[in-house]
Parts: sequence; structure tokens; C-alpha cells
Amino acid sequence: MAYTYYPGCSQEVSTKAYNLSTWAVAGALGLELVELDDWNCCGTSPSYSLRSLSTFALNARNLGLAERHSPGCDLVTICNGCFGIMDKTNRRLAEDAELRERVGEALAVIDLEYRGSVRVRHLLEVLVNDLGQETIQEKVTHPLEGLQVAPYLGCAFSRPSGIDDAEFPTALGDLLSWIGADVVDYPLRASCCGGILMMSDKKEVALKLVHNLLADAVRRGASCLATACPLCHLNVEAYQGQVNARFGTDFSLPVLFFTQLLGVSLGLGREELGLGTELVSAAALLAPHMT
Amino acid sequence: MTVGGLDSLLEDCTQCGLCREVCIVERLGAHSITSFLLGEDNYSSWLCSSCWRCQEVCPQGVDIHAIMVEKRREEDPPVAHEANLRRVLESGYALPIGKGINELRAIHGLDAVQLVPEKWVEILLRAQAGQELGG
Repeated sequence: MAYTYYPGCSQEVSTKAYNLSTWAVAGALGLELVELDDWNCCGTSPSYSLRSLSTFALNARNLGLAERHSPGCDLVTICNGCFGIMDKTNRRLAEDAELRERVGEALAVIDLEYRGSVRVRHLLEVLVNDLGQETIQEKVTHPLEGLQVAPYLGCAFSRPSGIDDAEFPTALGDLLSWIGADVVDYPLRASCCGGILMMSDKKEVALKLVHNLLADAVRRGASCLATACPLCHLNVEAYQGQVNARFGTDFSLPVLFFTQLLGVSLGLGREELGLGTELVSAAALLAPHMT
Repeated sequence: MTVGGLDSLLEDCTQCGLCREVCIVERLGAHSITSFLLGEDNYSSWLCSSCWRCQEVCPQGVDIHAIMVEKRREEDPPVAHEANLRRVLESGYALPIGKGINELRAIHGLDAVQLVPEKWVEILLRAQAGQELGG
């Protein structure tokens, strides 16, 4: 079964390792991804607040292209933000006739329509539910034994999508345990990283949130965090220095995309998983698991 | 955007306060949309991190996220978010893709991506007459 793949802006620019490792892992697991041709940005969450209709139109364009080029295929994204807003677009278009009409008029100008047939999904959920434990474990050659991983999912994976428990999502922990990692009990797994607050004048709040995420992971013995969203990833990785400066802490915790950890367990190489591009090096941590 | 606007969104709220109990921003001492719901004046809806926790626990099923969006439009947005919106509307991407991208993709064995969206963003968005585009 093929899936339409929507990488999203971050994966082309700031978190290329997530995109690379997604392709590598999909190849190794026999998951057929076809990148959506000529995709555009999901609009991002702050823009949705300012221009909802434009955001719905931008997302409907992607959904319409997916429907046209790969009818019957689910649209898979790897970003919680893109996932949340595309899923929301689908729901709103299904329930709001007036919105459907206005978005339809806009799409008609570029000779496109969207009939609402595309299901939006997150890669993590696809791996866990469509491929499943057995298929994935069969391919594991380098189980991550002894690697203490805190599974960090953030908000929009499970809220409000309903694809996992809203407060205690289990998908990421399950996958990590299947590939041999020691999954750290991490109650903050669905707590917020601060999201877009980090990029605004409300940064102080976001820094505190990231501080709490890091402090709890370290306290519980994690040697790295696994993430499934480029925005969460950026906040908990890139701002460790600022958190340390602000709170007098000494965090230096590697943060890896779940696709990178999965790739390591499948015996894939550093380059194809984008390893070495992380801001807090995971080289020493992963060395025992890589041939 | 929302039929009936803020008043109808607020109709079912009983001000029970559960939303503020679970709000991670409130817990850090800052005040956002759940403070507004409880009738307070000192808050910024742009301090909401969109984590959806309040909406998840609301016993009345109030669409707090939609209320937050409505309230944001009454406030000046942070500069970075306005810049972000401008990039999306002008280029179709929040993080516009640089010209070197296809050389890099070739190195990694990835297919080339289309660089210029052939003006479709402008066309698409111009097609949406109305207050949202005018603002």
C-alpha cells in the first residue's frame, strides 16, 4: 500500500535529518512513500490564528493535489503541526458547508477541487498501526539494548486528533520498546514544548516549559529524548544553552527523531539517517549500536 | 470565520475553572485564554501554546481553541508571527526553500522539488475575497 508523503517546510530547511531518516526507514521497512508533488506550507499555527480561511485554503490545496494524484492513498506527515492543521482542515470542511463553498471557490481558480476523500495521518501512527510490531521487529538487526530513551510526543500528535490517548499517548513508547530501547517512564510525554511561543516575545514561558521537560527526562534517567515533531525537536534541542543560562542548569541531552533511532535499530548508516547534524551530539551514545 | 462569533462560542462555558487547572502556561504563572474564560482582564491570548489540554478536559465541550483564535485577532500579534504569515502568503512556505536545495537533494539521492510555485499562492489567496484577506 502506497502513502502520499507530505514533508512540510521544516523538513526541507531546519530539520532535514527528519526527512532523510524518514525516507531511509521507509525504504528499509518496505513502506512506499510518494512525495506530494508541488506541495505548499500548511500555513503554520500562528498564521491560522490570523487568517483561518487562507490557512484552510492552503491545506485544501495540498489535500486536493493528493486526492488528484494519488486517489485512495492516505496523506502521511511527520510534523505534529502540519498533521494537526491538515486534520483540522479535513474535519472543518466535512462539517461546514459554507467553508467548503468558499474554499472550493478558491481552489477552482487554480483548477483544483477537493472532495474530502483524503485521510491525514502521522507517520508514527502509520508505523505502529499499519506495519505493526511483528513487521518492524523482523527487520531489527541492531536492537537498542541499554539505551535509555524518553519518548516525547508533545501536543498535537494526540490532541485533538484522537489517534492516541490525549494525555498519555503510547505509540512512541511502544515503537521504541519494539526496537529494544529501554523506554523511560516519562509522564511529560504529551506536555507542551512551548511551540511557537519560543519564536515570539513570550519566550520566557517556553524556556520554562523546555526546562521542565529536560529536568524530568534527566531525573528519570534518560540518556536521550526521542521526538516526532520538528517544532518540539527544535525547542528541546536548540534552546538547551539558553535554558542552562537562564536556570543555572547543565543540560546536554541528545535529542533524536524517532525515525533516526528506528533507523539505527534497522542497521542503517549515519549519513542516511542524518546523524551528526544534531546540536547535542549523539555520536558517543549511539556508537555501541552502530556497526 | 466562526458562525455566531465569540458570544456563541462562550455560551456553554460555566466558568468551572477546570481549563485553568490544566493550563501549563497558567501553572508557570503566566495568564492566557483560560484566564479570559474566568473573567479576568490580565491575560494575553498570544501566550497560549495551543496544546489543546483545556479543550480536552472541558466538561461542556467548549471550543476553547476557537475562542483563543478569536481573541488573538483583538490583540496585536507578536512581530515574528506577522513575519511568518507574510512568508507563507508570499512564497507558500513558512521556511522558503533556498535555491541550493536541489543540489543538496541530489547528493542524498532525493528527487528535485519545484522551487517557484508559479504564482499559485497569490492566485489562490486573491481568489478569497473578504475581510480576512483585506486585514
